[in-house]
Amino acid sequence: MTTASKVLLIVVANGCLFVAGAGVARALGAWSRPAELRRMLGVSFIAGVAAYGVAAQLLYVLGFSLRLWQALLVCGILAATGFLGGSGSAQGTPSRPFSRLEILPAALAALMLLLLALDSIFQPLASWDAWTQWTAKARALVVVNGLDPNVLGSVVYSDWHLDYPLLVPALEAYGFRFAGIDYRIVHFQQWFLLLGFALAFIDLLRPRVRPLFMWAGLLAILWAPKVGSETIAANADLALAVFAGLTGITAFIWITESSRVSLGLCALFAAATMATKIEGAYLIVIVLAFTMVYVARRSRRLMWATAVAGAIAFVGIVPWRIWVAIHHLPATYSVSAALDGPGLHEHSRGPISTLVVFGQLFSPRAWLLLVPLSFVAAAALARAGLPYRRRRLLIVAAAMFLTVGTVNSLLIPGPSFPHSWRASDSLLFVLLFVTGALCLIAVARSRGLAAWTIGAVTAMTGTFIMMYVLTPYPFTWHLGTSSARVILGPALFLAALAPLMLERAAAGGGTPLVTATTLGGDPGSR
Amino acid sequence: MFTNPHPLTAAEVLALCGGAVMVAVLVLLLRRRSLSLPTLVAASLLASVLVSAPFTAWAFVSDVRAARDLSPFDAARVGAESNGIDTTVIDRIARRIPEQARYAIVLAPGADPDITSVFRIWALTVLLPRVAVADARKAEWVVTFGASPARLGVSASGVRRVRSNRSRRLDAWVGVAR
Repeated sequence: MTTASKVLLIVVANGCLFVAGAGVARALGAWSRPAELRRMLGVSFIAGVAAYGVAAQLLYVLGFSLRLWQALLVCGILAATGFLGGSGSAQGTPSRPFSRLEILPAALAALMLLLLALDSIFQPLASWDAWTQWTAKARALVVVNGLDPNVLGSVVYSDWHLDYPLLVPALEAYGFRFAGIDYRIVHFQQWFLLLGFALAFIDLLRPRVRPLFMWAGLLAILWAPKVGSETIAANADLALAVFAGLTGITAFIWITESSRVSLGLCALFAAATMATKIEGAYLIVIVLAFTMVYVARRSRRLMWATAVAGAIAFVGIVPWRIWVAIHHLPATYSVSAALDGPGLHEHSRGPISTLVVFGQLFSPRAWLLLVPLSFVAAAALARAGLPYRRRRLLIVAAAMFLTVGTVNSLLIPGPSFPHSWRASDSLLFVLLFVTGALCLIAVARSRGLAAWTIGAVTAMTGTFIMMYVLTPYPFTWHLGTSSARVILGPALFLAALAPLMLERAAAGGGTPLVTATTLGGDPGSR
Repeated sequence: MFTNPHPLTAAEVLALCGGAVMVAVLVLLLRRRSLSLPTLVAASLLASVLVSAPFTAWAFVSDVRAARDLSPFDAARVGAESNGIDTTVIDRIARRIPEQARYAIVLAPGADPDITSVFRIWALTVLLPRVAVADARKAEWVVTFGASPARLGVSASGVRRVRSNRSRRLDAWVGVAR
């Protein structure tokens, strides 16, 4: 089979996921009439990927092999769920063509996506995690026809990190069922995640955010070198970041508009985040906890609705965790190993992890100015929600934090700590910690969506730092080989919310978004 | 990303993007009397993307060109090969072991742990659908790396040394377990 044929088959495979997702999105009320589907293309596709990934993991646990006909049947069943919905709950503005001013940024976005598509088609399987874990498991799912306990439930294969969830291997295996096992084509399969994210970003933000903010946010994400390099790495970190970012956007819309459709999509994307990596569960717990606390101030009903959606999202991962427990698979991050390890006694681990993780978060080579400016967007929103006399502390703290963070990223540019601990590192750590804490306090005082966003991102980043501190693996090796990748999740979560925060800041902080009636939103509930 | 050209250093990126942001702010201030912070942030994001786009694009174009030169055969195994093993050794082992057989991998304790780890992970992947077992006594076939089965105290018959074309250190042995 030629490369062109394989590319075509992967396009067909993803077309099936789109059809599946269109059904799921309709069942959730995101669209009802065919004309409305046009403004939900990206959301439908990503919903299809998420629903198929979560369903596939469940079906593998139940003993299905997900051969091509079974995979197509799953897509068909997911598509058929669309007949359950579509009672006219979707409202809002019809799809409108891009204005003349929007054509240039749209072309720039398309250019980057095209470049990455080309790169993904020729990309070799070079990333360590890809060939030692994700694609190895995907190949196994195809070659042994499913979740064979002799392979994927055997400690002999524990180098593959068998307790990690199956969404990414299931998606790659899905691609293999169409185009045959090809270690290059997995990159193209993953590229569709970025394409879906970009389209879903437009679907969700265009009715709510003015074009300048939306295109600035989208272009900064697509052209961030880290996003591009992870798109063609065939790791699970891009998938995690895409689902976490969309969970963030839909949670934000749920908070601001009390839209049931957004809550449904949020639960679906949250389930997919958890089905992607173990770390995904931590990220989702954080987002849900912050969302529940936020909406509880307004209404108990909204809090319970969030809790139910969160519980539904967690249901997707439960069968997998039971399967892992039944087969006594070794835990990649076990609590006992963490507590017995040297992490609690080596006091330099915390400061080193903090400096390295924040160095990666602010890295100009990885993100250009995307992450620092997303923090500024949050600060701008917090500022709009603060009384005048409290704004000064916020502005000073944010400016100091961004300066220290940027200096730190210049001094510690790589994912490894470059030297033994020095007095200057202590100073840097104290400055980063103090300015970060001041910034957090100042933003938290606004008690608004900036506090929700920055609180969640801080908790996510803190969780990763704790994982490094308590790692059962060699500390330096673990930090050096993964910190540059895992930071993609919190960074994309923050960046995806930046245009929404800018819009609210421009509107004065607490005023409604531009259009609140899309996605089944109930303007009266605000 | 297969290649990692990184055309600019972090300081250069900051200088370039910072300069672009300043130009964008000046242009906006000349056109408007007041500039809101959200507009300033969005304009800065756009300016930083536009000024760095040629460099970012070039990095990915270079990557396409380097990746395109690899054959499908090399592209599939560049990860394992670049970590020090000879993957063709495992291809030849696969030809010896029947597809339905169970096998065990035994690694020489004195060999480089990084290389043996890579050998083991790649072998586990490539030898599927053959199933690996932990205990060599329960296996039908034995694969050893770093030393022969006899030297590792593993009982096997019909042992064949599978030589690497690159280095004797990368040789493996395969035999029928007894």
